[in-house]
Amino acid sequence: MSEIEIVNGEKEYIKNKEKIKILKNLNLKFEKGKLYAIMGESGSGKTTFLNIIGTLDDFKSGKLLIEGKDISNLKEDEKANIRMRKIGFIFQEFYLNPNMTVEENIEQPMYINNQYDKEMIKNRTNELIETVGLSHRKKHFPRELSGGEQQRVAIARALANKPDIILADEPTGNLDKENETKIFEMLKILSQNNKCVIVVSHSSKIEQYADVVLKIKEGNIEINEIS
Amino acid sequence: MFKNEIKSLFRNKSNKIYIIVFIFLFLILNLSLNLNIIIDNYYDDKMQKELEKAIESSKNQDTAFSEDMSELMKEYLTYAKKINIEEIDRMVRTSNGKELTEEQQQKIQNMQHVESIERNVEKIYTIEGLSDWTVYYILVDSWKNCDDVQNYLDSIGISSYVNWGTSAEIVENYEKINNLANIIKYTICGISLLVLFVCCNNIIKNEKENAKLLNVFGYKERKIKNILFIQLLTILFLGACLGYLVSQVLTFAGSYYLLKTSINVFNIYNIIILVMMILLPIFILTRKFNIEYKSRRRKL
Repeated sequence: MSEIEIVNGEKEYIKNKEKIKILKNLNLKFEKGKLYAIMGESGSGKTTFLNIIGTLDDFKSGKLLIEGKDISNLKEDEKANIRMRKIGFIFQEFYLNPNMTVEENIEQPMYINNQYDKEMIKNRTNELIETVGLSHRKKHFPRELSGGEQQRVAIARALANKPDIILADEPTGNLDKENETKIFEMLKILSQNNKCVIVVSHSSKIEQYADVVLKIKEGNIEINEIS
Repeated sequence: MFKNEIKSLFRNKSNKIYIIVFIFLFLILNLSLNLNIIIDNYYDDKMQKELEKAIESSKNQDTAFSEDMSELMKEYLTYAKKINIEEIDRMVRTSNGKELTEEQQQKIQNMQHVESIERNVEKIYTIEGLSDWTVYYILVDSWKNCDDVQNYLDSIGISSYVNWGTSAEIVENYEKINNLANIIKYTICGISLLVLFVCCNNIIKNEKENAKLLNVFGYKERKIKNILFIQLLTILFLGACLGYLVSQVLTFAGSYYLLKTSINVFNIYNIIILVMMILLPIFILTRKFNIEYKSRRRKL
């Protein structure tokens, strides 16, 4: 069974009183253990597509199935539950809480999940901080970190609840080449650890790491499997 | 979870500024709600001084009364000045220490019209004359009630003389200032509420990005609002407590007249402030407010 399945997904917007079909009749499947790169021009609908997969937005018509369950018609609270347990988000702007330390930022989704006790949260946080190589920075605030370090914290936070799906929206958009490589390598390792990683990126470098490249053009998606 | 959220709340610089704003706001609010009491205290003190002056001058002037009457007045004024109105049992003694006879005590207790006044005014003390003259010297608990007592005595055909000498002007001023204080009080309350509302709204706006993030992580809207409610209440409560403390400090710092009675925690005004503090965040959070992380583009 696919981790994510889209059946006849369509999305429209109104721009200057004109209807624009941004995603047309999509039929796609995403599986665990693969890194998917979504590419396309600005305004082509990459982020919208990622938001729909992340249950933060909806198709106008069509179905979105996560682990075989149709979530298109679920209530907002139920979608929130799916996000909490199954999906980890990474954003271009990092979206770390500036008033929380590195470890508090990583702990946050685990407290929300309510499935771990305090000690488990501490242990998991330390483990994640070590994984992203920021043990020496755990008491620091985001403003005291470089862009690359902040994104590594965001990755650790996305992994906190052990999600099967990782969604990254332009994760290297604010980073230099060196950090870009580090982040893509990390995402690749995650996919190799049996996660379904979907990355929206402008950078062509992602093609070196992706198992499948999806190019959005005029509402259609062109799939390119890299062997 | 709440622990981290509250910690992050206090690390936010703008929230620290809001706490300072709330300290001043609650101090002003507390003072304005107690403005009448503050003015009363000020005038009570002023009237006390005037009364002392009147007693002093009545000792020296006896033109308005016969010699006996004047002596008696002096005696009663001196007596009235000496007695502690909290100790009612001392009322049955004369100024020279002699106890009243049982008959005299009974007579005081049976004064019908005085009892009637007692129902309208909190405390009235009487002293019956011990000479041929029968003089009732009525000590009213507050000079502000003198008018009522005098009106009542007029209505039952007993002539009375209000002994506040030159202080009539003060009484007139008091009434004017008290009316003005009412206007100021309610204006300040209105302005404070408005400022409080704007500040709370801004605090929520500042926390909106974090709230959206919590929504992405899977927190339900109701739970996010609970967190925001606790955050807002924490800031408000801290501001209120510190505002109260500052008013206490000001009292001890010497603004005796100004804050003498304005800071009784259990008075009705402080309870109103407390209820308002809880209701305001609830009101702000029950309004429709978007914390969903959605695309900014218009959806179909």
